[in-house]
Amino acid sequence: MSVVTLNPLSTQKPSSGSLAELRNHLVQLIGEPFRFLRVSYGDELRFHFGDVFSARSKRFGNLTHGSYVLGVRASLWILKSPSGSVIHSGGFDGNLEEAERHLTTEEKKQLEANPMIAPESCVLSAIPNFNEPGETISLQLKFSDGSSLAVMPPPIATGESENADLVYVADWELFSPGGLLSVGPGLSWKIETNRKAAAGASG
Amino acid sequence: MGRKRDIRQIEAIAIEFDMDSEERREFGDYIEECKRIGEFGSGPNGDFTYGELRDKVPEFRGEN
Repeated sequence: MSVVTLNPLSTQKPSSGSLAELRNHLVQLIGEPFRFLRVSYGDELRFHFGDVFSARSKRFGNLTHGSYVLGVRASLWILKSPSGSVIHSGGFDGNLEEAERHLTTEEKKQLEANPMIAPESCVLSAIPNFNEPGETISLQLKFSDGSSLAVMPPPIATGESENADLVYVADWELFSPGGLLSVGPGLSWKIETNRKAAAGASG
Repeated sequence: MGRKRDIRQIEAIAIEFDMDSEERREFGDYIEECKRIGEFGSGPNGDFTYGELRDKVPEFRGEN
């Protein structure tokens, strides 16, 4: 696996060129159809797009994944339906304890059954932006059915950026056929090219 | 801090067991599936401790 850190962890706001590069990388998601939402461990929402494949692990039976998977990690999120209905993670009023609250089993089932985005709706736009006051990078997706998803990382917790013992968790990530895009913490982002894609590119 | 702690633990397990990003993602899905079928950890909300997550890795990989 090769790792290319295009914008290393920094407290400095990256250049607009870096954000433009990130936006360009997200262009590959545009036009891909939404397949399903699955809630993973840590109540992380994962949105699956594109072609559908069986899971690699033999333990999964019929569990599938999309060729593109957007994971919101521990970020705040808002889903809006075409009719204007809204569901969200909580935490937008500054009460981050609400955003850290675990979903109930029933809430997970409801989200997966009705993720606000109609199946087969295509991604119309995928726009990253600086989250005020410029500490993190947010993401907004719009879909062909009129629905939308916003992913907004919470502020970096005090002391988190200096604690070398912590395992860093991205603010959001996109699995794609070419590899993994990890955005955050903070204003950093990187692309890890997967082995299969790298072999294809070199051979 | 509940959700982020859970996600961070999966990240730490992935590093310890040399998982690539796709295996790490599937391991998170696997642990969630375990909870949904009633296999709970001993932590709050049925979450797994780090030691319990370690013990789940061979099972997830089909090594036992």
